[in-house]
Amino acid sequence: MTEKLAAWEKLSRNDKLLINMLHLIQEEQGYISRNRLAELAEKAEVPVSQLQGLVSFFNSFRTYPAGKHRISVCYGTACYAKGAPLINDRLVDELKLKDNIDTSSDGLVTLEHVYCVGACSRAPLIVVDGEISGKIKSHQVPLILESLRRKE
Amino acid sequence: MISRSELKGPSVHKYQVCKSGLESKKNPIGLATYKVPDFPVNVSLESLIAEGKITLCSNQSRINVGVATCGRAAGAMDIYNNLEKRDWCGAVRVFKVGCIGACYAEPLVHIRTPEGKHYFYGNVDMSIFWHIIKTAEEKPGTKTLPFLWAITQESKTGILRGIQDMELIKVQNSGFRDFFQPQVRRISGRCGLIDPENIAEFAAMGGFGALEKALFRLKRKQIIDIIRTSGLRGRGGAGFPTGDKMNIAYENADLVRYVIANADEGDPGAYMDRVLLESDPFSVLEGMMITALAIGASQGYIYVRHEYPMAVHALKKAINCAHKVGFLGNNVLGSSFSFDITLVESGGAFICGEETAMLQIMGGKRGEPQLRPPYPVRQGFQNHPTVINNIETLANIPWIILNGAEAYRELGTPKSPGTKIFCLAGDIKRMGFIEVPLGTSTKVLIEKIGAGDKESIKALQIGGPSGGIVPYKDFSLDYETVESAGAIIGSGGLVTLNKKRCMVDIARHMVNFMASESCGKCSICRGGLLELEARLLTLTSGKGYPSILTEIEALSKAISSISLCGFGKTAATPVTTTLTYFRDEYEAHVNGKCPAVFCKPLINFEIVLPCRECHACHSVCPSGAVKRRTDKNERLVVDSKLCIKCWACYEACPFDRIRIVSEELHGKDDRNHS
Repeated sequence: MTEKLAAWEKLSRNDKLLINMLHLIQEEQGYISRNRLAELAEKAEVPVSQLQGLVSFFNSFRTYPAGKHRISVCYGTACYAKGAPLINDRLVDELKLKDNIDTSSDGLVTLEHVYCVGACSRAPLIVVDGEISGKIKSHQVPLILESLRRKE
Repeated sequence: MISRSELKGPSVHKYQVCKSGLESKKNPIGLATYKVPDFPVNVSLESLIAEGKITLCSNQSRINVGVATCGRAAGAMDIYNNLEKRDWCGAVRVFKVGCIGACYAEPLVHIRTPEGKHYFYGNVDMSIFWHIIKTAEEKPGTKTLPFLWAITQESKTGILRGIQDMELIKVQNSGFRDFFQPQVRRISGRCGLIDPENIAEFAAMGGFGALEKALFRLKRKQIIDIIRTSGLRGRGGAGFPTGDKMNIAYENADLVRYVIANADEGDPGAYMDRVLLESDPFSVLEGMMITALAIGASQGYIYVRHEYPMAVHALKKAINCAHKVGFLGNNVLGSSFSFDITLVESGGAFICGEETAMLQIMGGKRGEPQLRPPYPVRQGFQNHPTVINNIETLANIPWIILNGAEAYRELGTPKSPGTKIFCLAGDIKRMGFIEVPLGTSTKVLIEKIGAGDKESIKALQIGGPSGGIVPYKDFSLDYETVESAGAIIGSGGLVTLNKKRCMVDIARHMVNFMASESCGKCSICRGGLLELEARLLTLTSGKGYPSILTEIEALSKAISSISLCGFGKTAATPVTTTLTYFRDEYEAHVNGKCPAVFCKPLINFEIVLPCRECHACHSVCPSGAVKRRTDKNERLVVDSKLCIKCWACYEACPFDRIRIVSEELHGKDDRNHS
């Protein structure tokens, strides 16, 4: 049992929100494993199926591990109109991603989409490990990936 | 009730003076940042205001660097770190502030000098650092002017409650003036001027004045009446009168009530909630507190979007800070009113902005919208009356309480009074976050504020993905007029689309978004949207057939008439509006041509003469499609068989010699060249 799960009991009645707990678990592990979900279900006295339903409902919860670095391409209207699909296609090409697989085979990068990070003036945007960079051109993608590889 | 004079809690004024004023003189390098004392203490509003003034309107120069999300995307953190690192010898303090709204000018640095002058520098990079340092450090009268965008002067030195208290005295960049001149900053006046983590600065800027008035000078019913007469309408999209909502909860027999602030701003292209939360979070808390006081709630929730990590951070800090100085928790400001706020972080689902879906999530269930009535205001969170308001609505409430309903109605139209925040994005020069009276015309917004080129703008996308895409023309932006144009104001996102954007592809993108965000409860929305997307994909990949437009029309009609909630009812609006206004583009796609040259399968790239042969295109092409032709006229050409249509050559060409053509045109051009 982790510390964060143990905190559940200390919460006041008004603060016992399952979704906040799921965020804590995801923060800790990078994804939400079945074991953790079962532990939370036991603590909160709800069926695992209900939690599973909550997890699968949201885009941001992962049920399997992610790569070392995470790149999100903003797919909001402004970014889309200004060329987000071109950046996405280039990333897919460079990372050699296949359908329904979002992590490169070397486990370096996970590619995700986000619908608007709210900095539309810098469109198109990508978020690399939480750092937002704006006005990206598709030919900059190899450079971005190279800098991530060099960090290793 | 306790009078104000009895409320003199231990002042933290002295603490602040010794931390920032005296100590920094002794120790010039260490810039003590303001910290709220760690012990629980009930601070009076007066002492908080006095304390805020010390940093806000001090006799030191103050440098504000905008480090909200848009600023960070432009590299403002580097600017801040560099300025902060410098040894200012105690003469200058550097602050992180939110966004003033001029997102196009990020990174934006703003200096306040002790004599009340404000210097604005836009698009700052390392090359103008020296000018910023000079302006901040030098004595009055010897300021260096180059690279300045504008200078303003406080109307009364030392009194600064928002950007409205400043007078423009010199403009170097006329665009900056045009951006701000048509605006009325009522609720966003503090954004970008105060440190969003500092409660004292908020109080010094006139914050919490409305809360104090509501607590000690107004009865609960009076608060509701003021909001009702002001005619404030919910800013989240539906436009329901806020005062009426409060009144329904107030009159309910159930005594346990909740307030929820809806910050699940999922509309792509709308980010006013993010700016408000990142730049001025306390105003939202104040609005929530006044609402809670009026309806009699003691617990509030803020349902905030997970995609806004900075806003979540700012809110966490603000709630903690308000707790520490006794503005949240038991006996707010020494009165009998107790209130607490819990943050709920969403997980990235557009539908959760719908109030019944949100309540489902908060109850630990999947976010499927429920049939209304019962409305949440009668039977909401845990079956108690719950007032759910948008962030912008809540930020309006303190202004109304402080200035009265009549003053509020001075701006806007009779049916839609007040101001509204819009977010300008897309194909215009000056993008950003603006506040204008409701009923302002699109011409002012797009052409004056946004500096959009009238000739090149094709369409406006109003109100997010469930709003509509309408041709650009001059109309007034209030709830009724926009609705008659076929769109909704929604939360207030305005994305401008120019002639290069393919309407069919934009509509397809919207439907793709809606299909992936459908909660799946109604089969017509779950399956119908996927079918609709497949049809649009057929069009954009050039495989259209004559009857496809009729199919698309029938399908979008079915989706909007059968779905249960507002999401499904409006999901096909982008398609229906584009089909009405841009039917010629759809018809061209049926014939295999993309008039806006955007859809990949329908376009080809060409290098047109005279080509300077700089090889920029050759070096960026990832697929080796840019080749040297080796016949008698030797030149670079794009091999359409190898081309993956990544636009890299088009973006890289410094001389604009790459042309994109759609299939029919291409055939003609090919004949000419060979």
